[in-house]
Amino acid sequence: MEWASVAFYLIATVCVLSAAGVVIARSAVHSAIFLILCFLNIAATFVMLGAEFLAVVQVIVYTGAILVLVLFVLMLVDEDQLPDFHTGQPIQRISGLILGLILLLEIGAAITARSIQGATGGATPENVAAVGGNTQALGRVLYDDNLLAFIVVSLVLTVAVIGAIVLALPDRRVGINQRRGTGTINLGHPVGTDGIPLALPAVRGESPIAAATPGDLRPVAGERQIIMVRDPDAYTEVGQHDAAPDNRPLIKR
Amino acid sequence: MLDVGLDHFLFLSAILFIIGMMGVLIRRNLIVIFMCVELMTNAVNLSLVAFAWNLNSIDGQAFALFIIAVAAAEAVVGLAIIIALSRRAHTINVDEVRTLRN
Amino acid sequence: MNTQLYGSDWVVIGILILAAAALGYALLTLNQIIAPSKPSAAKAAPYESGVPEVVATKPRFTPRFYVVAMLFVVFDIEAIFIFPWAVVFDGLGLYGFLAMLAFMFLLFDGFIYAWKKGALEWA
Repeated sequence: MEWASVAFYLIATVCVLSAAGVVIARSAVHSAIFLILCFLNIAATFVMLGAEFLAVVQVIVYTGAILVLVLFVLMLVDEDQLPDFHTGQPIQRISGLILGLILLLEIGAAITARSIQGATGGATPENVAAVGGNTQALGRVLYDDNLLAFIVVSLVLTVAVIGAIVLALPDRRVGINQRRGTGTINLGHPVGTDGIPLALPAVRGESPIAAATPGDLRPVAGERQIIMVRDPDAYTEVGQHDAAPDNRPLIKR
Repeated sequence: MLDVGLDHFLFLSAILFIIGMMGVLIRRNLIVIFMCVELMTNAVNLSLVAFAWNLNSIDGQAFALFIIAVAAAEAVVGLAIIIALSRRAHTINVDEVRTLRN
Repeated sequence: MNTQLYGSDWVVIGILILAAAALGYALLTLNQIIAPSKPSAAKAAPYESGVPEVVATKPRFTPRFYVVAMLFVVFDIEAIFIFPWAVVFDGLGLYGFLAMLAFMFLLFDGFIYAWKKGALEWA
């Protein structure tokens, strides 16, 4: 056996096993890592087929960009939203296996019984080498015959960007503080406990501030703290003391 | 002469395609299904490049390059749909997502 | 049939890949062998001192991360298409130059849209 054959069978074995790992792995992150391995091996087969530029593109775009995007999405999606590995009816598994085997037999028959031969092009290894290499040859084909498709690709990508932003970007009307669940106000005490009591109530054990009516409270003077609170509506805001008619703390809500 | 010919690459491509198809049919996790679709795209790319190699042509490689670009656009939109689904439907199990049906 | 399956250059690259994998594996293994490992429950806690957490806290990431990664993918594709264009630029002339300008202009449109939509703002 030649080295190329050994390399092919090695690459093909790893490729098929890692592709099976994508389907079999329980964790979606493991699936993604198996997929990276599979894509790297497909890049290696591209090298064997004389498509060096495509092999590099495969590594850069698929394993470098798309799989990173998939891992980002796995980070963004809540873990408890991922379905269990064992969900789904058994009929889905069985029909999947049977359909896969049928399709494999069909494609196998099609490959072995293949009789149509295409016309051989002019890109023999000698010609490709004369042009300067695979990238040069690909560039000539790409920007000569397929210029329209090249422009349309940019259009497709632009539409994809717009669609993804419309779908994925959170609604702008919701402020970031509300999403986070915290806000900043200039006051350190909750609603109903504004001010310092003038006289302590007689009842023992009761909170003096909670027991005092608003009339018993005199407003707090001086600087107020800036604190982060979870719900800004539950707290009074600064400046409203002075606005109150009888010097009573104005309570929001 | 080499032992490895066009048929070997086509069979590799077919096996990868079918593994991807089985994954789409069997798994319920939308992200894994998406990855299996990417696997199927790659299998088709592999067969295109194999045919181009066999026929001494570069056109197959140009097709494969366009397919990779469109697959990236598809990934961008598909994953955005998954994010929107996870935020609105709170699940990415394909069996539980039925709002389009009703 | 094309018989040029591989050249000696690729053997070098294969050796490089193997060396990189071996280096990563060796460093991890060495770390596991040499470094002392005394795990305890306190070390595994998110805060070494303080109140034990009540519920598992998985932070919710904002989808703005996704938008940034998506823009990276799109401009990655742009770079991929620019590379063979630059290699054969001499033979293309003005027509190829204008085509690439149109390509970049269309992609830049998407970027402008993302910008104006506030997808890149984090405040």
